[in-house]
Amino acid sequence: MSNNGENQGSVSKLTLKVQRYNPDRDKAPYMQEFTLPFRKGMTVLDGLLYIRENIDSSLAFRASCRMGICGACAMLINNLPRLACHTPVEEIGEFTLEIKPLPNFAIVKDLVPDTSSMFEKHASVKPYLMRDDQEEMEHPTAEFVQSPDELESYLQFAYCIKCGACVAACPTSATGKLYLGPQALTQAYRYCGDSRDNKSGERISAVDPYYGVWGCHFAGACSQVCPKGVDPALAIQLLRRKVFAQSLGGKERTPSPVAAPPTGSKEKIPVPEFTVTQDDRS
Amino acid sequence: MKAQSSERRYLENYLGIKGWVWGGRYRLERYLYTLHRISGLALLFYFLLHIAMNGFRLSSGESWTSLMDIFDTPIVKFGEYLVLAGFTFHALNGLRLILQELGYTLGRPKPPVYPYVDALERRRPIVFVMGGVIIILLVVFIFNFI
Amino acid sequence: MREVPLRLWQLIAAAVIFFLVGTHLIIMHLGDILSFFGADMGEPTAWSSVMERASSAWWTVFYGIVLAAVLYHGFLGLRNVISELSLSPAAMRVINRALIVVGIGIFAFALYIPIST
Repeated sequence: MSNNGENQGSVSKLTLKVQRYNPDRDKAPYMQEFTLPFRKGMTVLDGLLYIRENIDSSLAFRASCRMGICGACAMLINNLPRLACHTPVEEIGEFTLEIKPLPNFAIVKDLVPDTSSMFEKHASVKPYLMRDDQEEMEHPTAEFVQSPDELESYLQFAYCIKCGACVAACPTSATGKLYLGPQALTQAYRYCGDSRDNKSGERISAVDPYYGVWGCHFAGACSQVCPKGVDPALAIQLLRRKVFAQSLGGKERTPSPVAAPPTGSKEKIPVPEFTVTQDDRS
Repeated sequence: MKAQSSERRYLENYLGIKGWVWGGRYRLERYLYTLHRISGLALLFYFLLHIAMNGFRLSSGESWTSLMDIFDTPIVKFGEYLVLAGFTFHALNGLRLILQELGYTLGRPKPPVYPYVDALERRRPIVFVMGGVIIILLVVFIFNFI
Repeated sequence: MREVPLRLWQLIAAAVIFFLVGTHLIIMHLGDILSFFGADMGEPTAWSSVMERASSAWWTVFYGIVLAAVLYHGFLGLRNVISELSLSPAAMRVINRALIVVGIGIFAFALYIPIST
């Protein structure tokens, strides 16, 4: 431990200023300072876990996977929304960090934001494939054809983990409670841009009101903070282009067809002898 | 307690109008957005003032001329320069926004490979060129006001 | 009501403003630079030159288009800014209508100035 501290020069202590708020007890949030040992390679989440285990077990925050997959631990770290698990302290370069819950959401307790508004907005833009051939959608016979190019035209936007960092960074979301926000609008484009979908018109009417795609003024803060490189700002501009194109008489695309049934089949690999087959079991 | 928790109103944490101006540690475009909004509202305010001022022409030529004489001061000259500067910024930044908000000059979506570089970052030179043109124009305009 | 046509016209108005108000500002404020390039416009705010422009049909049409474009672009922009303040739908309706009435009123008054003088 002390060796690691020496490797870091003189730094062996980390100070976390954490915003606390307990709705049962406190009238307003306040800042509390914790000092803990610094260890090389430590993330902000490691620091918070250390506090909960060793200093104050009442500190509330959300975290699950510790590897930037679940999107639960987004918080405002030194005035920038980021994933606590994805932010090594050394990357920030300061050893006194200010940690607050994500803005533009309500606070449940301490660092836990209430992201339900984001999920409601996400659902409102119909983030799923919609096609005319309902029968094929419900009883699929084969996969839909999609070229690698077609996949890449929306793939980037499909990496969203719904952590809410973009909504916390967005200046329009700072006042517009109705504003759908970068997360929902990006997902709207993710499906509008999918070659297997042909009902983007329904999604476009969901994002057309003033609190939809028009609330974006391309400040680009969402793309800067996205921990997964989703680039919501780009998606929203492409969505806006689609909305304009549709209003000027653009037609819905023909969705990609169902893959043709395979012609001929390869010779089956023989089942190894040690495998238990259906016949053995009965 | 359970029943209560569903009724509990969580503490609102919206940044509010402060969030338009103060953005935290964000990059250039976030502040161009703020400046675009401020310059737009200021230009609209000036435009209404301008119309009201022109209303003086309805009464007589003398009242117009005397108004112009009152306005012949360095402070008003500086104000005129600010209007010109605001318009130049709003127009050129607006030109960039029209192009980019229609999806031009941004390029195609790229698979996110770490370190992530987003479309705005890739096309940062556009902002620099725009900023350069604005600064050159504003410096040239100064010669008309000295 | 669909929002697209409003925003499309805002972009078109922006392009109109870019050229027409640009011309207006160059003539009004950049006289010294213009005369450096050999185009002397005289004193643009003198009563005689103001009257000269007001009596010309071309300039009146020019000012009419500028007025319409700027008022539309500006008031829609103002409404967009207000619409981000999470006001109630009823309040937004009142503001929308108020801005339309005030905008048309200002347009009529401002166009009356060059026509009447």
